[in-house]
Amino acid sequence: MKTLKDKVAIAGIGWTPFTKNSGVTDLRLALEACKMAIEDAGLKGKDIDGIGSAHGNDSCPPYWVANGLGMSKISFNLDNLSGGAGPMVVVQLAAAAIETGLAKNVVIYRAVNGRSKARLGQADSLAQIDGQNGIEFLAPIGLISPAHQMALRCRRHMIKYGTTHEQLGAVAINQRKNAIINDRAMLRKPMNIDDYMNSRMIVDPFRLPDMCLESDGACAVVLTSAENARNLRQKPVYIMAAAMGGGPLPGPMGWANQAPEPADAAANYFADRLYSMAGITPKDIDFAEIYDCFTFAVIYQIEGYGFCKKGEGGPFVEGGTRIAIGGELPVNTHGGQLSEGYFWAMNHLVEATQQLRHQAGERQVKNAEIGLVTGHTAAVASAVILHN
Amino acid sequence: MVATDHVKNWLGWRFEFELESTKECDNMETYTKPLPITTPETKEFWEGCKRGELLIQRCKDCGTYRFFPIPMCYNCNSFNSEWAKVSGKGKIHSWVVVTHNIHPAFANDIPYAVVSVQLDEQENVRLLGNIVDCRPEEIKPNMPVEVFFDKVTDEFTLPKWKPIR
Repeated sequence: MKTLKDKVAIAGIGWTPFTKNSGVTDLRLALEACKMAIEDAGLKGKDIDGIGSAHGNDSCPPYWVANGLGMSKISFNLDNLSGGAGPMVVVQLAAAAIETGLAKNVVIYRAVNGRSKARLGQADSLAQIDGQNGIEFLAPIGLISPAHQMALRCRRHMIKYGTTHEQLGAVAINQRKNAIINDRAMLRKPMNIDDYMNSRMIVDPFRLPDMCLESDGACAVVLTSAENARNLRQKPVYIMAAAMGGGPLPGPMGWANQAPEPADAAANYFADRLYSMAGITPKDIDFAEIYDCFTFAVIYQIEGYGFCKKGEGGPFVEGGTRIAIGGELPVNTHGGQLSEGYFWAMNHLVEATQQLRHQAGERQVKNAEIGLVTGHTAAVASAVILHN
Repeated sequence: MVATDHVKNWLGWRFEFELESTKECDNMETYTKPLPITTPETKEFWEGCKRGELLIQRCKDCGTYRFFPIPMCYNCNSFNSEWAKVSGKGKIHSWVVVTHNIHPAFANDIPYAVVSVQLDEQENVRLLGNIVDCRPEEIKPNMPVEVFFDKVTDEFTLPKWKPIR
């Protein structure tokens, strides 16, 4: 039977500083991160023959980056516009291209001036993300940002399962703790439950710490065949499984109330396929870098990826013990998008690779062998399972 | 308006209709919120609102209602649809309360609620809208509501929701 399992590996990782104002173009950011990833793999720009990126009309097309890298040919070129699910979609499609011989060494990146330029938390993000639907049905009623729209899903979860503000806060607090021991992280100010509960309510039920950062910067990885990776500079981190999907009646973020059950993560529709390809169960996952546009997204994906039953995500994260670095399921060991930086899970992929190389320093999950990385754009989502 | 330039750049090469909200209009001085930018396929919905009728797209071949409007029936793939009048009644399925403003035109409404109303006609037909005659803290799950039409400009009437008390 055909499978992608263990056919492709991450051979290099790279990133730029994560800031509020990079002072350079997203093209420059992309080139810096890609160069670092390529050198980390022990390769040169001309060795790369495939390029992929995910963006939201907020970043340069990949062929410009290919130009600067000095790629001698482009056997694989993918430019994906599916929001936060995008990078993990691109990663798995690039892996499929490598496995089927379309390309050999593929660099994948996310580069954006998401704080100094187009900010997704501001009003003018609506046309960009929700297009016609947004400008006709959402702007007139003031349901404008992804925060407004995801908060609608979170409220469903609170209605249906009794999820509490304190449980949302537990996610934010855990990740802030991790960010404090992470030199890459943008937000490293200590936060306890009182700080969280007293923080500004932005769109009830979301407070400011429930919402991810806006960031300038870039992250990149280099993928190659498992066999080739074993001859390169770093210990390979293998893609054990990959999947993407979602339920019926999908749409952009503004279709937040349209899913059969908005309180259910899209992951419910493909987690089985993911674990089946890997040949493991959720119990085998040592850590999870979960797409965290908002704290709520972490809770419903913990359910969706089978770490607990639907509705039990709140109690699972309550108090932060289970999801801490030393806990039964460390979540977002780098601080995630809530506290490290917002790069549509490309930074989650970088962190997961460091964890599996056992190069995560103070953040290291003991004996980490298998990790989950998820992407998410609400109605559609994507994920990979990695192992060393 | 903040959204206008961005929308023009994004849409300018794809659609041919004008940006309705930038036209001069007698009431525009008092109403500054974004107005719906419509398509030929949705203009009947907005005309219905002007007449005080809530119209929902319905497949002529299998009778399935759908919202948001989309040209094809997801149930039977038919392109034959009509705009069918519905009762205007539903129940609160979810809601949010915007407490920190990000758009200048909504500044005076803070805090304002946006509700998702599940229509009585079909379980998965849910409309988003603002609620009137109801404080944000009064909103409850499954609260019965009915549609109320608010003529905000000469050109546009918006469907809003009132609790059935």
